[in-house]
Amino acid sequence: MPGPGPSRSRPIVTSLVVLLAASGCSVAGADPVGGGPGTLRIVLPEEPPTLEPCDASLTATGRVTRANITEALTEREPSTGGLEPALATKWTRTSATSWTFTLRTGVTFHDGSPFTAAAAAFSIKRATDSGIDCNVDGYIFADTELTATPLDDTALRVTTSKPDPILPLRLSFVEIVPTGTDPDSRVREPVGTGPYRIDEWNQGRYLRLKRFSGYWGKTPDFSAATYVWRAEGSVRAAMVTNDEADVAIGLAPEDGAGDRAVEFATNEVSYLRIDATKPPLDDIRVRRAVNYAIDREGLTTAVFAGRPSGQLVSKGVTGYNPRIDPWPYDPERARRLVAEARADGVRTDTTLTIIGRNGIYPKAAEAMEVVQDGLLKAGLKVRIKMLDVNAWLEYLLRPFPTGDTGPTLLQAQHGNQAGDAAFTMGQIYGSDGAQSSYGTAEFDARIARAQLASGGKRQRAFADAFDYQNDKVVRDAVMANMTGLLALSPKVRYRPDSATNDEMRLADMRRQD
Amino acid sequence: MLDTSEAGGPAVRRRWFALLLRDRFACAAALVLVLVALCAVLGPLLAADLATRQNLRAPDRPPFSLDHGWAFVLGSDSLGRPVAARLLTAAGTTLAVAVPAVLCSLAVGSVWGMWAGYHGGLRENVSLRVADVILSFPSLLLAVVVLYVFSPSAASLVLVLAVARIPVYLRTARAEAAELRGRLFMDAARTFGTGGWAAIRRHVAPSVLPTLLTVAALDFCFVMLAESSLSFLGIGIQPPDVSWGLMVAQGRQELQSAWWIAFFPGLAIVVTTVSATALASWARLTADPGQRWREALGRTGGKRPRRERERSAAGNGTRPSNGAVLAVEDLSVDVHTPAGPVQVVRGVGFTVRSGETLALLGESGCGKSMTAHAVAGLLDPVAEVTGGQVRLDGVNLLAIGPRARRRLAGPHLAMVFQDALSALNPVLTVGTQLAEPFRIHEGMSRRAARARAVELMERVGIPEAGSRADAYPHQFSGGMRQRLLIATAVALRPKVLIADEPTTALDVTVQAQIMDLLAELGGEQRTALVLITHDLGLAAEHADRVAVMYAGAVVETGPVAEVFGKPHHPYTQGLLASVPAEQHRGARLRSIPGGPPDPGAVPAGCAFRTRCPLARERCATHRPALNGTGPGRAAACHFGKDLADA
Amino acid sequence: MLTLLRRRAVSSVIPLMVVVLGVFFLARLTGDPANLYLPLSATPEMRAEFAARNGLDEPLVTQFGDYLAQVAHLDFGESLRTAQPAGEAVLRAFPATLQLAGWTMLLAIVGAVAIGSLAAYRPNSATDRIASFLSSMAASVPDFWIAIMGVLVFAVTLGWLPTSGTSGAAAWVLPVATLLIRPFGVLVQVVRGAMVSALSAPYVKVARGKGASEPRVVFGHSLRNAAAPALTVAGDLAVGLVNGAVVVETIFGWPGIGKLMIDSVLQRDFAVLQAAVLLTALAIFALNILVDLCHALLDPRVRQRAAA
Repeated sequence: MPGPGPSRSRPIVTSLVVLLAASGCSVAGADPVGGGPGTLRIVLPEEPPTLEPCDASLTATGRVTRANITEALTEREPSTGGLEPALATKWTRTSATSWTFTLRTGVTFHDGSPFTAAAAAFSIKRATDSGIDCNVDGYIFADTELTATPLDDTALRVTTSKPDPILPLRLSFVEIVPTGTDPDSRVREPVGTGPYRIDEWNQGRYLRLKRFSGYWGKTPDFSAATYVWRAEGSVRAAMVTNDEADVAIGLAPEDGAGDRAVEFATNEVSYLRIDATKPPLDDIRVRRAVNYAIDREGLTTAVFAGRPSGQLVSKGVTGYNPRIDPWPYDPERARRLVAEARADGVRTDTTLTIIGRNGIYPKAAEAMEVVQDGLLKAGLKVRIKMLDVNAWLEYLLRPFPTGDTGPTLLQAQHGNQAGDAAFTMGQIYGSDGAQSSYGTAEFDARIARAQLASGGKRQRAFADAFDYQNDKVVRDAVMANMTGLLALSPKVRYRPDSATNDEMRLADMRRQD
Repeated sequence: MLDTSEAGGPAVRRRWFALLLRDRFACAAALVLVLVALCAVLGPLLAADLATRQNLRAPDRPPFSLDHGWAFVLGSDSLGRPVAARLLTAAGTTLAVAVPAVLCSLAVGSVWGMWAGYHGGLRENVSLRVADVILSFPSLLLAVVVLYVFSPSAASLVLVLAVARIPVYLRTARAEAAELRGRLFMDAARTFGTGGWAAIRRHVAPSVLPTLLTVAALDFCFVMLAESSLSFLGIGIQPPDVSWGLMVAQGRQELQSAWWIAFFPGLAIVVTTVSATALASWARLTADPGQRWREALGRTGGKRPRRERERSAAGNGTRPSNGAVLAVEDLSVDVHTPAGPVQVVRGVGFTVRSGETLALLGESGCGKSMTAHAVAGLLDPVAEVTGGQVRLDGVNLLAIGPRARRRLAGPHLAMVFQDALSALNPVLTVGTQLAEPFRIHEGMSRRAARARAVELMERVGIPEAGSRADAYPHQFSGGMRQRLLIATAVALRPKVLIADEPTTALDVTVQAQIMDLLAELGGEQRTALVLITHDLGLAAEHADRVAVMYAGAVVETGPVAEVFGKPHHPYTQGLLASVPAEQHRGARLRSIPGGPPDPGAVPAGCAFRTRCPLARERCATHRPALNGTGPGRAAACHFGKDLADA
Repeated sequence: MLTLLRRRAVSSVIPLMVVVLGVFFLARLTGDPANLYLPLSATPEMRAEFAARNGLDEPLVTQFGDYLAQVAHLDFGESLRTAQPAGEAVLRAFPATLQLAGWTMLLAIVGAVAIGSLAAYRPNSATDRIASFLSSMAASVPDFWIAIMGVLVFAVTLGWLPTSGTSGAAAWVLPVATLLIRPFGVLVQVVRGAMVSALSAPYVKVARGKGASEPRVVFGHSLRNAAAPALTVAGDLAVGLVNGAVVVETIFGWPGIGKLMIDSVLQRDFAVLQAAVLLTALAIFALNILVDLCHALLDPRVRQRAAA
């Protein structure tokens, strides 16, 4: 620059450039996506907030830790719904409130310490009765008190305060950690018995796992796995197309994964919760009309991937009722029902509010526009209010917001990842369930009966309860059992199942060659 | 500069409209905006319920097909709704949010900023810190709070967007107002007791608003896109209402599978913003009298040098110029105005010899400055030499290239400007500016050039030159600044020095000192001095010869004493008669009725005839040439001889 | 200059407090985080315990007092989401954003000065028209559109660049380019406007009268005079970038402060939000001081006023 006179700003600019260049180098090169053919590269929608094993029921945490880093005593086979041995090889119910587990021998933790009944007892106590506020505790053991006592090195007795026919299933959520783990606070990088151990977690950038050479089971194909996270679906898909990742999860059909995309049925079911306590929704005809007014086929064609459904649990969950069909789309009938109700003096001109949640599933707002359109055509008045998660949660959970919102339809989704309708029914349909807007005494009784039953009786009791709700209560407008979508590179062979969103087993991913 | 400002509302409006029609870009921009506004009003009528009519069985129809009606010409979205119809319906909602939001933040931010900048001190400081607070505040948090505490509505949306943008206007307005505050006229305004708000309205607002207008135009897109991202939180437009922002937000997820859903509303936002920006920058140019002339500048600006050369190649042959160092012959200059080219210099000719001082005399706007700038080759891009020659030592300056011209500028021809404050670069030390000629033409080192600069400063009588060379122009008094400017001009001992009203801004004592300095320098360096002035006294005292100009032409020339003693042109007579009455610059000539003609409307024949007591029929049809009326004298009047003989 | 610095630093303390206070109280207006962090079936006792453990059961004023006392010891609290110190999370994210913003502004300014000066050199010429048109377009194109199109074209179709991530110099291209477009467009407009004024100033004629070459006229004489308004606007644009290049950070998986701040608002992670806002506010105040210093460096009149 031929500027006259000494320019005082030049040294500043120069030093700025140097500073930037130097700092640029420190960021660049710190991100090892890649790492040879032995490394499996996975791209997630979000970074796990924590890897704490007792928070493994959080989707973002569980899909990284469960069955990869840490393992539980039992594990559920999603395709059959059956329970398989994991760190426990056998379990028997010794009394109504007591179970004995026989533990696998020859298992070591990543830190070299042996897996014993003491470790299992420690882990159960840590997860259910400690100051950590474990997510598992609230999700799986909300109303159960349990005590675990090691009988010897390989035998463990677990007793519950109340009879619990599905305790082994519940324990499939308790990840086992060695006794050296801090009992009073969350750990960042847990030690487990899984096929992979944590190699490096560079927060914000990547998490790298290495194959654990001392693993008791079959050695997985890939010697390492790297997780990265990108919030944008189309970018995740593009990473697989561009050979920057081998597996991309949480995709939507419009993300452009092309022929790399693999569809799979999930356990997630989308539904609208009807606030049946307020007019006009307190009239069952109006609630039926809502169901008839929703074009489920249209939703699954145009808005999201899924299969129309009539109940909150998916196939494979104990209590699933194969005889319940999704409600048909019948706008004419919906209009007739509303007109009937109006004729009987029901205040059908009250404005209903759809409480939506952005991002609950792809195109959440559009889905609610479809619902709104259908309800308007049926002769109801409807407006949409899309909220962020926390605001939406206030409507989802008791106590519900007081105020002038009026009758609401709540956009919701439920995924029963435990595989038993008990994890659905009480919470969602019980008169005083945390997420329940309405229930009846008769319904409550049916739920209570089912919860105490076991085996085939349990299945039938829950299936009947679903049928009862669909027919006589109509608290919900269930929309669809959602279809999951992930992208795989040609290098990887993997068959996702309904549990993939919560538990993505690296050991099940095989090299194509 | 051409001042064509008029009074009166409708006339102004008509003129703006006429100006708008002349600028194709601005015209197109205005058209787009009108169209958008029309859509906003008529959209709901035209599209009716088409915009919300869903067809889930046929989503994502591709665009550019009329098979399903006009509404589907831009395709359909994921719910099968026609994009074109939604685009129309959305225009109203979009503008209803964006316009109030931008206007609110513009109004609040600019008034606040001007107030802060005008008053300075604590008020300025506090205001700026408030802006800092708003800027550092995550606007998302604000949005979520609104979502929680109030219920989302168009009003709260406008509020959030407006509040977030206020600091931008505040800071920009403040910066410009503070800069203006530093200038003289504001101090004057304050001294004369003009109240704060009145001064802001009269002095600050006109110079601050143009910049803010540009910022505001660009802000349209920001507001529309912010509204789009807020709809993700649920505080944006709520369906089934639709805005462009919402369409963009919804189409975003399908950019790969159905690009048209997000593309067309995005395009609408871009086109609207670009149009608003184009119109704002046009309005900025048109509203600023100092820049208005640029309107007329089309591609001519870029081509001028070539045309100059072409013209001079076909120019007149050379004529001996009897020892003159500078000879100007038949020089004509056009200024391009929105109304077409206007000839402001009409065949001017004069000569100056070494060591001689020629006064170029005339009223404001008679074309004397334009002549000087044309001679020095420093015309604004809007003005163009259309004919004539300027010979410096026999070289036609108008025929040589810019590089050769630059080599002559300084050592051969230099110029002293009117307003020394603006003619000195405010951000460079005077030492640097004085050293520049040596650096450019003599390739001196920085140090050597600086030494010469200090010498020069001493030479023009600046005390403590050695230390003051590092000072900046604003640290000198008016007289000292003029001395500095003269020093710059004479640095390389030019053969010709043009001084354009060198003493106008100065008081009488300093005037005399400056003129003495010029005379002294001229005497020792044998410089030919062209003194441009409207001051007859100055000319009488310091010039050897005088050339009187009227309406872009020389009307009389000759030795000063003779011309002033016995003028041969009725205009010169009038000028001389008005001397005692003239108190300040720009005063009308009392003894001559009327004023100088507008350069766009110079009367045919003799330009002076409408004011001339001697005007006859012939004056209306024949333009008088500058003919000799005596030894060394000439006048451009049909009756020049008569006056000489009288 | 030092006086200016000191005075600005002192006068920034109160606004900084206002920001902290505002964020603290406003954040607590956005609902109880317990819903997000406790299992859906949490009992009232669990909620009470959660509130007690995180100090959310105390009166707001007490909470704020405790918070200030903590901050005075450079303890910014613990993230609800990750159970990590909030200060750490913020300090980890900030450099990434700062570098991104730094490069972006540097390139935007250099580019805008070049293009803006070129456009202003011959106002209303074809160059000027094209530059003005393109720059106002650049300033108004939605950034996510550029980002995703960039990924599709340059990463997926052409395979020249990685789609996202932070590894290697090539990974910087798309984020910086995306981020660059709006500031660049705005700055071209501002620089052009200021240069048109500066180039028609009398001192430019004086310089030409001295025989100065055109580059010398443009860069030596006009640019510094035109820099003031451009600097003000550039400062505001930089503030926007520091405050969060959210779209870019989200799409390209850039672990920066913008994404962190958004997430912490949506997740009601108050400690992280407060720490992030405090740090960005500090950076913004520092940036504003830097801009003022640059003003003073560029213009001796400002220097004099500042010293007065």
